[in-house]
Amino acid sequence: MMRAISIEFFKFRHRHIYLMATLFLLIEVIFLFMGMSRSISMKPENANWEALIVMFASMNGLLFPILIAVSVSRICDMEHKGNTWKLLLTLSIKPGQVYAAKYIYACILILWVCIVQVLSIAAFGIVKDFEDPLPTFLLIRYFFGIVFTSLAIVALQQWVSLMKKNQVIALTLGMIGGFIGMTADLMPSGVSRIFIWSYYSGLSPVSLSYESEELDFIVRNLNALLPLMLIVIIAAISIYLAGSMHLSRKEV
Amino acid sequence: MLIRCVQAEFIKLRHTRIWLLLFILPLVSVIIGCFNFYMNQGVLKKEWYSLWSQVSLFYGEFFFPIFIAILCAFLWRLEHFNKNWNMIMTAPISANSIFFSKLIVVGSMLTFSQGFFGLLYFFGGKLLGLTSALPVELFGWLLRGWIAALTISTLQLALSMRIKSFAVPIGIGFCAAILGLGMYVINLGLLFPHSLLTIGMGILNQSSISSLWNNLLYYIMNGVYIFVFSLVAIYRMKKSDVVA
Amino acid sequence: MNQVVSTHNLSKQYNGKYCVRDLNLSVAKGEIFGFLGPNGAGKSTTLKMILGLTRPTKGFVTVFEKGFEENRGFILSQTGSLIESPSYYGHLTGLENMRVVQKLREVPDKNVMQALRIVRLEKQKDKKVSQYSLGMKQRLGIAMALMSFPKVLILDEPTNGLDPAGIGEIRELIKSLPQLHGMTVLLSSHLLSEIEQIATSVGIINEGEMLFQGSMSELKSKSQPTIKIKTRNNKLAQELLRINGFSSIQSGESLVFEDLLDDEVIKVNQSLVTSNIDVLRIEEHKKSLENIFLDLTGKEQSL
Repeated sequence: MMRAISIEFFKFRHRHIYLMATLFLLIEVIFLFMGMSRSISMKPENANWEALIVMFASMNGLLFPILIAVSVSRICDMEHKGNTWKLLLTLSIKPGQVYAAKYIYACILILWVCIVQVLSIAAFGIVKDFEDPLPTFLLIRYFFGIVFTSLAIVALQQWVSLMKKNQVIALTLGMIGGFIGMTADLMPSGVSRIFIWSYYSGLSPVSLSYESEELDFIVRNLNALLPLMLIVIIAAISIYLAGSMHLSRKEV
Repeated sequence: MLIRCVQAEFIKLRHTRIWLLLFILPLVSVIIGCFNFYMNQGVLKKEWYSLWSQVSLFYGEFFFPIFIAILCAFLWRLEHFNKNWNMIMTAPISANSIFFSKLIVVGSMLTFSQGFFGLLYFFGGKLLGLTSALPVELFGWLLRGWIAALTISTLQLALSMRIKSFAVPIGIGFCAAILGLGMYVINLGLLFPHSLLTIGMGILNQSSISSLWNNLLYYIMNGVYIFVFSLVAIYRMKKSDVVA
Repeated sequence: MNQVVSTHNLSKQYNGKYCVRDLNLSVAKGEIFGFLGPNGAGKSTTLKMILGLTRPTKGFVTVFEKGFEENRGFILSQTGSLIESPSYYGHLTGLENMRVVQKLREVPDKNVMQALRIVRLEKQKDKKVSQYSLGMKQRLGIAMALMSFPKVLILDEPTNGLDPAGIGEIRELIKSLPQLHGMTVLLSSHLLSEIEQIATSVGIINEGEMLFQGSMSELKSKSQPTIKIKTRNNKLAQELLRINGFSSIQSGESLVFEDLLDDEVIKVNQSLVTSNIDVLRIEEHKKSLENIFLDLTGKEQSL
């Protein structure tokens, strides 16, 4: 198994995939920091952690599905291009192992992106001298929210990217996912919870309330979020297993 | 020569279901936009104008650029596979024709999707019970949107021609869309292809192009970008070795 | 207009290393020029430079005695080619692939069907190319190259992936092209036997440099049999025969004669016997093309 993973790392030696994902994230970070700085300069009391986290959570709904679709497609497409799927299977590695290795490789990449994002949020707050101290627990909850949701979406994208040689399908799925992820808050929660992409904002520890005239930031109760988190984890596992089994049985 | 190239491009698209995309994206955008409009009728009081702000927001700001990137990447992907570069570069066809035939194909697809989007907007509005007359600006939004879309297409075609990966140019396109929004916000929109789309389609401000001068400037900027991007792409095609 | 394709000090460097160096190749009208060399010798790179797919680091190419750069469109319209491995759009049928090339090259409909018939793909023309076997893809590639019935046909390893029957068929096809359609053919191969059976002229390339260029008969003349004669006194025998007009060289324990006719062998033997020089052996040695090739390339490994 370790051998299969190290093969994945080896294959991407010259591919700068980490660089690409990091740049992708930096664009988001810069964009949101610009927006945040503007809103603080207009209204100094906006300088709080809750507002920052909400902005990131809703932007993630758009960004992550597309980032994952692009990265996973890149990881999987090279096998289509060189017809190397066949080669791998003749190297006495089980298809399930290849599938797992790719999944783990993609997950490590996404984990890296998540870590960088959380660290930049913390750094921004500290640089901007937010009144409240660093809300470590809130950020940890935020971190796990995006990681778990991403695990499920990586599994989904990998399945589609490997199943269909035509990457248009995988990327269109990513695009529609981003669409849903971004507009999830506008839908009734019963509807949006069907879609895996809605959990970026759904699992955010802070939410926006449109009830009153003023925008309110509400810190969600951890207990209320735990069942949702469970759903995402179960979804991740079942999508992964379904994809792995489907492709292992598929004739090459 | 160009006409034959375009015909060849259309033959290449047979049996592909890329056409489906042309329907799906406008449809999803309009449905979500209409739904959002319906839910927030309290705040959105300007009838057709408010509806336009809703349907065009997600469409024009993020998904239209990605959609264009996917189309362009798809057209070049056909050539990146199976040594097809060898075939097109040994045909008695100029590099100009190769590049512009692809631009024409993308352009005609975009014409279709813009038209369909406009039509859906009209029916969506009727379905929501809007009674006033359609905005006079509608045609202008669609046309200017189409032109900005061509500008973005030229950029994406140039990227996808050079980058063999299917997904990377799309990722770049998406980042550029976010950058474009930023440029628009700080009022440098006329300087960036993706912001031109925001301006042209009247997404964030339905009356942003008023004066003749601004209008002219808008077309000139698009023209300059299309010219520069195609020039660079064609130059690269002529000067570099084919690695099929 | 005798020289159809010629290259002038053509060189290509990749990362500071010459892949092709000062190559002067010339193909005359109506020839089947076999470009022979081991894998990685620079055959494909040379052919790609002739077609303008790769730009030379130094030197230039002329086709119909016209510079390539200035006459790209004209030259390509007179050229059909199959480089590296066949190009195709997998999601399209064989016929649709032909239609794409038809549009790009502006040829009449009848050529499409004729080319498909020549490579015997008419029955499979409505099948998707992704489902073709390697040999069928190769045939399709040849059909695409032939479709415009060009004046020059450039084929890179045309029999790759074909079965023995297919190889024979394509070989006969290529041989017939100069007479039937007035084509000039430039083809590459790493198989000597194949070139031997098709080509009228040969160029042998190794490590980017041309080692031999000339007609097939010239190459074959290098393989004329030699006669080796071993006597009890080689020195005396050589002197005697030289006076009689037969020059020879000493090689090992024998004297080697080139281009000896049967009658001359009898004469040589008689004069040796009458001079009381004991003849131990008279042997004929054939130098195979294979050996010549190995001599030229200095390579013992498989080609």
